[in-house]
Order: sequence, then structure tokens, then C-alpha cells
Amino acid sequence: MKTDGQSKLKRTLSGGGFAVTAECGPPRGADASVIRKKGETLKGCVDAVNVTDNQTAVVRMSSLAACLHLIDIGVEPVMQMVTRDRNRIALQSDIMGAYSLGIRNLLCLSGDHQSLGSQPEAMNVFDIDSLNLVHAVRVMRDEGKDMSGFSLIGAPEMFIGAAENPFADPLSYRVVRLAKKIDAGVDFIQTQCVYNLPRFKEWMRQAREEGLTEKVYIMAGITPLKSTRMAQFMAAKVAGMDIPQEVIDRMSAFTGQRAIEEGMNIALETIAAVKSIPGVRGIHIMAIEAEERVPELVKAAGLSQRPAK
Amino acid sequence: MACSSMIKDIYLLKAFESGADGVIVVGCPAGKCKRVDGDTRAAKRVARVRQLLDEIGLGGKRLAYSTADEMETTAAELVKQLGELPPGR
Amino acid sequence: MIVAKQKPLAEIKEMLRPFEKVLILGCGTCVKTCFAGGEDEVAMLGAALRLAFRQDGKTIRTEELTVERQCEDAFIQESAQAVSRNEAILSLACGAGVQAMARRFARAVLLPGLNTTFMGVLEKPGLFTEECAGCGDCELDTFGGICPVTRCSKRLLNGPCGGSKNGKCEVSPDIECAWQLIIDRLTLLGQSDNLKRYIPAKDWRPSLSGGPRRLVREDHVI
Repeated sequence: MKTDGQSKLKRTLSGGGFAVTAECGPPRGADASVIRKKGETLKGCVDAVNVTDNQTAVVRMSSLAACLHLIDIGVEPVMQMVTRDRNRIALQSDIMGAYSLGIRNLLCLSGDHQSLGSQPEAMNVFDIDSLNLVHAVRVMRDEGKDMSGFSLIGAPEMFIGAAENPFADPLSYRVVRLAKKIDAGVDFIQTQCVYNLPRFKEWMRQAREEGLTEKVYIMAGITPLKSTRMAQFMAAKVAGMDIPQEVIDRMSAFTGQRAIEEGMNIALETIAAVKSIPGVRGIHIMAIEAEERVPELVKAAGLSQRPAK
Repeated sequence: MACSSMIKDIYLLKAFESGADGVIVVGCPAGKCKRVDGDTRAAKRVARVRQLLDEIGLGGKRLAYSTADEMETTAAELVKQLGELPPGR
Repeated sequence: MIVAKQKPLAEIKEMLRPFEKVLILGCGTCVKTCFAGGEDEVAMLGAALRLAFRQDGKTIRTEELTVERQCEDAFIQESAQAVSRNEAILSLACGAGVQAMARRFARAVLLPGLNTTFMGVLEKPGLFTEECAGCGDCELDTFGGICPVTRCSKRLLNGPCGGSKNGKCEVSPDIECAWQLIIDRLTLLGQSDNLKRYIPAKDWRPSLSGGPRRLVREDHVI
């Protein structure tokens, strides 16, 4: 297993390149072939692949294990870590273990509440929040110390990421929150998927104004829509999702394969638009359970030339 | 009773404990409560006790709420329902 | 105050099945205020249980008594005689009261008639809400008087998360997003700079997580 100590994602971004990441969810079981197949699909067309951590509070194979499977087939993972299920002891422990096994990128999240998931009877943890986690990892990396101040035998030098939602309530506070995350130690940000370009542009403008785009790599979230129903569902049910009526209307004009194509068109237009916004350093494609679309999307967007390892 | 809202839940249960098969609580016609919302409170209380009567196993149908002007119909309906139920004992 | 809710009648009935003579003991403080275990509720439950057992052809003898507070020895002493003449005590106090009774009357069978839930307030008639989780290290000054430990479903100290919708928590539209409330209140107070402050990871030792807690006041120990 490669432990050359270098995050390809970090190299791409710090080298001035426009990064592309994708996302995949581990299986609801112990079958490694599921994650390996997804990895094979995404290999070569993205710089790194996020692996979710019991996403939507549904019990799945652990992110750490799934990341190792990806490394094994030559794909660089971004390990996602939520603070919902594990306390600071377990989180720090897993981070050290992850680094020792070659994982180099970490995305810190709070996590969806367990009442929404597959085992709502569970007690949650939330010992620390996502900013505390970011801070802890930064200190582990830069000072080689854990949360008790103990000097670690081997510091996990993670490239630290967080999610941010330019479309969530309250809008006025979103850039303050971004600044806070950066101060805590975030290196890169992946945003919630973008459909409302004016609002996204406004958020970017405010971020630039505060000097934040100099301090963090912002990657815009992209999710190709597949149908009107998907668009309507996301707009109504998914918190923090902003899908303008024009987009829903565009999708409603088509069904079946034509709808999928229109969804791809919208995604391509969004990619082209965000690419031209100063401060946007990459895209993060979230095509959960539709990973097979990612290679063609990346290619059609003209982003296939990924820097070599 | 000056107002139907003065009827405490316990009186209703005691009525059944004493052997009543059915009970009707009568309040002022809708919107005419002299104490503003006494009839609403009484109706809500009755609803709660009906649920309790279901849990007890007696059956909430034995307890009815009626406004003064609808009493005859409510009473007739209740008597009919009680005919289909075992005695309240 | 402590907010509790009466257990379902069926559950209480099952607990009482082995007994012929039961004392239903109410508490006149917190649980009276939330309509769970005061004098009126004791009377209702007594009548309901007698009726319910009658349906099964069984007669249960209930004695009814309410004391001011079941968490204070001076008050629960008053129930000593009633306790001794019954086979079991159905306590309508919060969990602390039930245990205080069990401590004092070591040979008595104590049965909890309530499910104790939270420390809260009466927000408006008929609505009780959870306000304090008893974390042992209050930071309400930082958060404009709104507690993120209790009222944020994820206990975020550097909130909000991305899940709120129209100011409501992702867990339920009945729950207000605490962080929306905090942001609004701090803004109103001219303290929105508090929002820029990084709040470090909480020390949970003073909370239940550190073990069941005790408070000793030496100046009152005789």
C-alpha cells in the first residue's frame, strides 16, 4: 500500500490546478466488491474520491475500510468523518490509524441526525462538533499533539476538508461560518450542490471580499439531475437544497433518457459557470448511486486531463 | 354546574365507578359560552377522558359531549350505542 | 422544573397485577405542574385503575395520598403509615422522588408511574419544552441565553449545521433550530461577534458523562 505521504488532491490544488473529486457510498454490508467496482469506474477521471461515513445515518461499511479498498485499487480517497457516532477518543484514534494506512485526505462533518437513519434507537455521541474536529486534526498535523497535548509518535499529516452550504439558513451567516472553519484549520471546502448560480456567485463574492478565497480551496458541488421527480424531491425534502424553478421546469420538459441528458446539460453548464468564478478551485461531483455518469461528465466538461500521480 | 368547563375529569370517572353505563356532558351552544372558552375546554377534557375510557377497556363511546340544543339527538344516539355494549358494571 | 409524563395505563396495570393493595403516591411540585403526578392525577389514575381491573373481574384496593415533594425526606416521612399498610407503592414522582422513596422505605416495593423526561419550562399553555441538559458547566452567556447543548439536536457549539430548513431542525419541524435562535438573539443584543468566536471542545466531566454527580455543601453538613 502506498504511503508516500503526499495527497494528490493537495498537490493538484496547491499547484494551481482545477481539481475534480467525486463521491461514493460504501455498501450496506461487508461486500468489498461493491466499493471496488465504484472505485474502478471513477479511477483516472478524478483526483480523489470521497467515501461517506454512515451517510444519512444509515449503517454501512466503515469509511476507513472502504477508503483502504480504494487505495488498494489505486484510487486516492477522501475519508469522511462525522462526529455523530464516535467520541474524540475514537476519532483521533481512527485518524492516526487511517494515516498509517495511507489515507491522506479527511473531510470533517457533524453528520445527519440518527433519528433520520436506519437505526434511530441508537444513542448519538456528538462529543465534539465538526469545527472541534478540524481544529484537533490541524493540531495533530502541525504540532504533532493530540487533544490532551500528548506528543504523538508519528503525526497524521492530513489534508483537511469541510463541507459548507452556501444555500442553507441563515444566509447572512454563511460566510462568517466559512471564515470560522478556515480559522479552525480547514484547507479545502466542498460545497452543497450548486443549482442556484446567482446565490452561489454572491456567496463567492462575499468570500472573496473577506479574503477567504486566498486561504482555502473552494470546490463547488455538482450533482447531475436525472429526472423531474429527483429535482422536485431534492427541492422539497433535502434540507439546504436550493433548486430554482427554472431548473425544475427545464427537467419537466423531458422524461427518461432525454431527462438524464438534460440533467447532464445543466450540470455541464453549471461546471462551466463555476469554473469562471474567481476563487473556485475545483468541482466535487456527487452522483451517489450514479457513479457511472461521472467519467462522461468529466470528459464532456473538458476536465479529463487529470495531473498524473 | 355553573359552566361545563367546571366538570373535572374525576367526576366523569366516578360516574362510571358508581355504575353508570353512559355519561353526557352538556355545554352551551357553540360560540355562546359566557366564560369565553369554557365549552372548548370541556370538549377537550371529554375527548381526553374518552381516550382514557378506551385504555381502561370500558370504551370511550360511553361518554358524549353535547351542546344544549343538540342534547336530544346526542342522548338518543348514546342510548342506541349503549344497547350494543355490555353494561358498564 | 422536571417534566414527566404518566406511563400508559396498560403498562401501569401490568406492574400492579401481582398486588391487591396499592398506595398511589403523588407529588405536589414539578409533576403537578406538568399534569402528571399531582393530587388530581392521583385521583384520576386511582379511578382508572380500579375501573380497568374491574374489567378483568379483579378488585384492586387503592389508597391515594399526595405529599408536597417526594424528593425531600421531611415530606415523604408523612407517608410512612400509608406505605406500611400497602403491598406496593405506585409513585407518581419523577425518578428522583421514586428513588428517594426507595431509599427511605427499603422494604417497600416502589413502582414508577411516570416516565421522567427533562428539565424544562412551560412555554405556553399545554406546551412544555426541554431547556437544560444539566451539563454542569453553563455557557449561556456566550449564546445569548439559548442553550446549544440542550436545544441543538447535535449539541453543536460552533453551529449551525447545514440541515435546518426554514429555521427548523432537520430532526423535526416541531423543533426550532437552536442556532437560528442564537444567531437572531445575539444579533438583537448586538453580540453577534460571539458567533465568530471559536468555541473549543466541551469538557464533559461535570456532566452525567463523568459519572452520577454529587453536591456537598460543607457549610450545611452537620
